[in-house]
Amino acid sequence: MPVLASVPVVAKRAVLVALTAVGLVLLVLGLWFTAHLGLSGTATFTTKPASGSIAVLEPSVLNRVDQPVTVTARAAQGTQLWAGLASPSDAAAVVGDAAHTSVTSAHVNSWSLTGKRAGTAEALVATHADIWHATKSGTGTVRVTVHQSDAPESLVIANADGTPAALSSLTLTVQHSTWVFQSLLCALVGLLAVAAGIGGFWQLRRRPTTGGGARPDSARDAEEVAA
Amino acid sequence: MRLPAMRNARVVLPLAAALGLAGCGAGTALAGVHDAPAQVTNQAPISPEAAQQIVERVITKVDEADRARPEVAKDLRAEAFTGAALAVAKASDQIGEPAAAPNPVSRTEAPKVLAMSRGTGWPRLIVAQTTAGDGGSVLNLLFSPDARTPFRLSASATMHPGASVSALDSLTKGSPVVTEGAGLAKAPKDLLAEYAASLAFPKPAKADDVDGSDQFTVGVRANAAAQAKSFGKLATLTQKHEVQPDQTLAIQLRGGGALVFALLERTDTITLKKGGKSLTPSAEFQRLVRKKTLTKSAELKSYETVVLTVPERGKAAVVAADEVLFSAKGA
Repeated sequence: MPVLASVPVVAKRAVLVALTAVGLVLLVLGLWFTAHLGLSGTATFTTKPASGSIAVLEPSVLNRVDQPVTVTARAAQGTQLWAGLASPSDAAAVVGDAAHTSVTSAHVNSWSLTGKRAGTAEALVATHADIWHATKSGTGTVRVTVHQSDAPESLVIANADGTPAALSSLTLTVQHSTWVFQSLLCALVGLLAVAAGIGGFWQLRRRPTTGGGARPDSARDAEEVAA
Repeated sequence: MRLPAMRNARVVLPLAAALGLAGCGAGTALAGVHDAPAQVTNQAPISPEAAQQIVERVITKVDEADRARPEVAKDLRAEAFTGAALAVAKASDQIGEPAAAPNPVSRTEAPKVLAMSRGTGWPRLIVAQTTAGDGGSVLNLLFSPDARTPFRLSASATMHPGASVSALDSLTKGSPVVTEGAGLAKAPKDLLAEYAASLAFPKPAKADDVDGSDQFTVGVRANAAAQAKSFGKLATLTQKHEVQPDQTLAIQLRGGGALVFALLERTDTITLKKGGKSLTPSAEFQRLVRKKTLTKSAELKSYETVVLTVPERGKAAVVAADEVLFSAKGA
């Protein structure tokens, strides 16, 4: 380390600690993301909406990436589910004061969706209204792919008759193959940083100092010889 | 050795935290995660394709309602019609025969969407053109009052031969709904009141802001005059036209002006003079009032659906109109 030769040892150690710590974080993060995203780069966020309320997924979870987002709602077997995409203002207008769960954010740390309950009325979703960009129905499961061309959009999920659905799970998946490479790159950079940090410590250990570490190596060598 | 380590930690941990936080922001950007785009509020709220589907659905329902047996027609009408068009459609029930107005949806070609209201607010309008069985063009107005209520046919009138409507804004951009009358030669409400007064018989008011040379206006005036003349000294005829203000809807034309749909209620009152002992009306009138002769008076009520183009400056013109009788009483 000729460049760092004149740098105090304490500073060297600080840099190496930081390098190792950052590297370790990057390594763990990279491996963690790779483990969750898989080789396809698919992020999956899940929640279980409160029973007895209409589920509304807001643009803040549907339209934050450029890739299509797939939402899958599951309920008890035989349940007729319905899902409709509309502009956010139209979705808000059609849901109105009906009891609903508004899903507003996705958290990577827990791979979960979070939201808040709103409204108290026992109103139905007007599934026949002329605001829906696309609608889909299913028995037990309904799956909707949200393309980003019409963003922003909100997704409303209810029973086929417009009543609140008792969903057992609500899952949002996004596939982005670049994320796999980014995760692996992150892990690799972290690994290199950790290796460099450890290597640096190893070198410092092989050249013990008397403290302060301000003296040049040549002076230290002479002192060691004299001793 | 503990003290230097602690000093290092005090320097390194905040540094790592700062780097981490900065890295999170950079990380989301690198990962292609961004804020959701804001909703555009100054364009048409639905796509042209969706509007076309809506129009075709409504027109099909109107067809079904018109062809349905009386016992099921009422429910089908409620699904297909609203406003002025519903009033006109119900007229056939009230007089016990199919409405006299040309069927707006008997068509030979697919409906053509001409305009859509702009913005995310309510109510929303769609203007569509259909072709009647006889080849005539029909202007249709579809109306949705709120997010929960689907579009229905609100007004429909046959265009006069040779009449035209100035260009409207593109279906993607949408056309503003006209509520007051800013930027128009005259507010639709005042204009229609003036037009209705100009149709009165026998004492029409002067209409300075409406060009009354169209086929419908000329025909209404001429028919009233001819009918009064035919009564001679036996009876008098008065004719009054009243605007139904709740049924007036207007959408802005491209570059200014508006296309206004309105419903007028016409009342024809026939009163026998002292010299006239009785009057034998036409066979159709006899059937409607269920009397062969009239000894006192008769009153007929009709709906007149009119569509006017109102320029920024100059006179408005009636470009489409239809009428249907919905009530007849006589004594």
